[in-house]
Amino acid sequence: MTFLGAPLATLGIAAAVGATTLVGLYLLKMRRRRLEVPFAGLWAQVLRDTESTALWRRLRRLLSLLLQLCILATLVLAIGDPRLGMSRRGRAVAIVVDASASMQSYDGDFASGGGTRLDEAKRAAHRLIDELGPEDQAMILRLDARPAALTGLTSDERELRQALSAIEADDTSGDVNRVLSLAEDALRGRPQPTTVLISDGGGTDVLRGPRPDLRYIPVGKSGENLAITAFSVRRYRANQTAYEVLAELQNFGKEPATGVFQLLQDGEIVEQQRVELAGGQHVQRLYPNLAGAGNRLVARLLPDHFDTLPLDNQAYALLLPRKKIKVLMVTPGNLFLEGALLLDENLAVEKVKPAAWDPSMLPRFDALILDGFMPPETPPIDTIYLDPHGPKSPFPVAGEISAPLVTEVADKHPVGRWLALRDLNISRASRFSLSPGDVAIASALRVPIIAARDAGGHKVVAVGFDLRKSDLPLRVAFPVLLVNSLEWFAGGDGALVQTFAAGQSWRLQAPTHTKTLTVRDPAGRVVDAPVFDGRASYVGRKIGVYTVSSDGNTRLLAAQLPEGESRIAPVRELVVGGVAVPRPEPGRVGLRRALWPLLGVLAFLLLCLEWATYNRRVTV
Amino acid sequence: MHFDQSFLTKLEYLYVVARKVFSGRTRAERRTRKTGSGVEFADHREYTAGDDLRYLDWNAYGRLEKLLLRLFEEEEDLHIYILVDCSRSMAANGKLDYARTVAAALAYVGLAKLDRVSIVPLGVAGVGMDGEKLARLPASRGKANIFKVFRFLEGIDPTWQTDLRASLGAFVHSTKRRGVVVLLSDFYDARGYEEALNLLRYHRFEPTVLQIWSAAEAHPGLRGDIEIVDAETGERREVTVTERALRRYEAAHAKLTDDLERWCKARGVSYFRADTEVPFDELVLRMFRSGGFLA
Repeated sequence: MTFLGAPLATLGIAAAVGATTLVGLYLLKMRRRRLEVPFAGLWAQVLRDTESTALWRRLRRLLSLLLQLCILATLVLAIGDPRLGMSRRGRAVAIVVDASASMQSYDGDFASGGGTRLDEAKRAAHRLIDELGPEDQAMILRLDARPAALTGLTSDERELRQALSAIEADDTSGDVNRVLSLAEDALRGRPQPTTVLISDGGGTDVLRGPRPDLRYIPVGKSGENLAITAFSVRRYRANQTAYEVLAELQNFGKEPATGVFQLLQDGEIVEQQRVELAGGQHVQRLYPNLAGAGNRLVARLLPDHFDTLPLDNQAYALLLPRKKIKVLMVTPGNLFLEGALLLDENLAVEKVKPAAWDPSMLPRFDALILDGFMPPETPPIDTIYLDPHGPKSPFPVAGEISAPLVTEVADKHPVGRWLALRDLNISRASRFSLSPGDVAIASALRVPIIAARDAGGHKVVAVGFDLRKSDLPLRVAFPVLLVNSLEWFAGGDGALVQTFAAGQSWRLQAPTHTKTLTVRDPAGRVVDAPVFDGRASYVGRKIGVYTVSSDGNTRLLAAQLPEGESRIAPVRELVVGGVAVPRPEPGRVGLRRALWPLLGVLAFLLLCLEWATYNRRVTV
Repeated sequence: MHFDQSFLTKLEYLYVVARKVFSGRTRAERRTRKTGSGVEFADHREYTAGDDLRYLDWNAYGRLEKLLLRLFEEEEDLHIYILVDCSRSMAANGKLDYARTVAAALAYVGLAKLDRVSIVPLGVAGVGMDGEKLARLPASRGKANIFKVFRFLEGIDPTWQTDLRASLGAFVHSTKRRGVVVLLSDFYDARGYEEALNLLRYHRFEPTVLQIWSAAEAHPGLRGDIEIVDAETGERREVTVTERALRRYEAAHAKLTDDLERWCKARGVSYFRADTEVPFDELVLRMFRSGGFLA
């Protein structure tokens, strides 16, 4: 027998104090009602008859005391919460409950109550708690993109069950490696550690190595799922009033599936199409030349039949609002530069002479172009340096190169896209020294002459030669370089708004001098994200549209379901390192039955017995 | 206790009823068995030296040749002694009041029949009463004295202790004239009553026992843990009254009553049980009808 309630020392003290009090009360002389009788002699005869049974009467009173002591002992035992049963001593169990997006699939075992896979996982976890031995300890961990331990190792069933009940599924992928590391850390040094993973097996293919302490309880039955696996929208560069949408649909099941695909803009259906997909088929649909004033786009899939995972039947995307980029150009006069900036109608350019440089003007602009001019202080704004020099150069200049030939272009970088710099003639160029994180947009035999940096909250592009001493202004690459740079400053490629995957850490760019960003998720929960180095980190756990606001400025973000979460076919047999992970062995855990209700009933019955015997004068 | 006019009317009624039952005479209406100087022959006895020669029966001497002295019944007033127990136990459950009432009724009938009625309170000095003595109402005759009786009875104070042997011993030794003794008591005497009643018999009184009986004492209806205190001695006893103990008490009480009745009947002593719940006139009439009292 094991006591899970008050410690034995406390029970002993309580029993001693209670027993002493009872015996003291028992020894107290009973205060009797006084009654005057005309002739006590008659009563004396009665008492003489009963004196022969005085010893028996004392014994009967002793019986009353014994009954009361029994009631006390029963109550003290009940407070101790005794448990009967056998169990392995000191087992430490980490119960990992998968709460990733796929666990929202409605294919829980109907025999045990149906519902979602998460519901089934919780029921399995409750059964594990039921089977815990009196000296076992357990903890609950949640498996999603950010795994966390919801309890410490404890024997408190109530705490474990409360933590289980509080688990809700996120629209994220599960980081299995991380949650198992957490469990290992928590169980390290504990006797007989056991980690029980209750999951549909999504994301477990990354597990490596033998894991002898791991046990696996699979949940879910069906792999049938019709899903939107990709959804993207962007404005046309030439005509920003129109946009095109790319959607990808996939039938993850084996049976053919049909349904209706809808495209909604600010809640209004702008496109609708019937889809029919064979088992395992995936299709891409392009919807060009769509127009409208709204910027929230929702793709919705309405299957004709029951869909196991409704979560991936919706996807969200945003259109970048059309907005002019305000550019301050500091130049003594450069017609090539001014002409190139005139090509993009989304730019609002203001020109000042170096002599008129005033840093207080900067808050009115989104970007700065310094044409051979180096201000005394590094400007706190996204900047294009043309021929930077001196100690204030963003990239230290380590000498010069005469007539360099551009041999490498970083065409994967937003600034280097579509740049054709071959055969570019340059009289001489500065040799930039790059720091880690800097990107060489153009290099001459690995010597960076055009570089980009995204650090400190501001972006910088530097061209290491004088435009007037090269033929770059005469090439198409020159306006492309400028527009790429300015659109990179603006936070994207100008037409495509980046969507985020739920569960990942989002780095959100913050306006200058902003200390916090206020993020409102699709469920309406508001979180303040602190800003460091011009960016804030935020983890969105739900798909949908988020609102990010700071200093009165508001912008929108869209979050999509992580890749792979639509593939919901459960893993019935988990194999790690070539070894099948076993299920928790039935029967290894012992019964643990709470005795306090029985003890309470026993105490009540004893109380009734004591009361009845007292009132029937049996024990007095 | 207060004897009012209606009570007196009721006593008169009792007296009328008593007269119908027993024929009366002009003087004392009852003769004693005492032989002496009366006119009605009663018996003979042998002559002893010193006897009055006038009462020798010469006719009998002629026939029997024995000197026999003629005895005559002596007519004298009947003395009625009404003895009332004044112990503290009589104060319980209205027993003393009942005893006063019955005593008054009997006294009235006696006075009306021109008997000499005396009221004698019984009791011995209890705790804190050393030196005190109970006064008795001297024998008186005639209905006019009933008010003295009333006043005397009203003045009786139940603060004494029961000791029938001592009380009756004092009575018989201080009373020269024999007569009828009516003893009203609850007979709660730890020393017993037999010796006391025998004293009356041996001293040639005609005792009539009237046991004042209360149903509340015979069947007390108590339950639980109580401390009983004796009303007279102050003795304390702790007792737990269970159903069984109560039955034993009731049996002991009934035995006390039955033993007293049996004892009296065995010795020709008139016995009446006076239930305090029964009206006193009914009791008195029952006594008359029984023929053994004042006949």
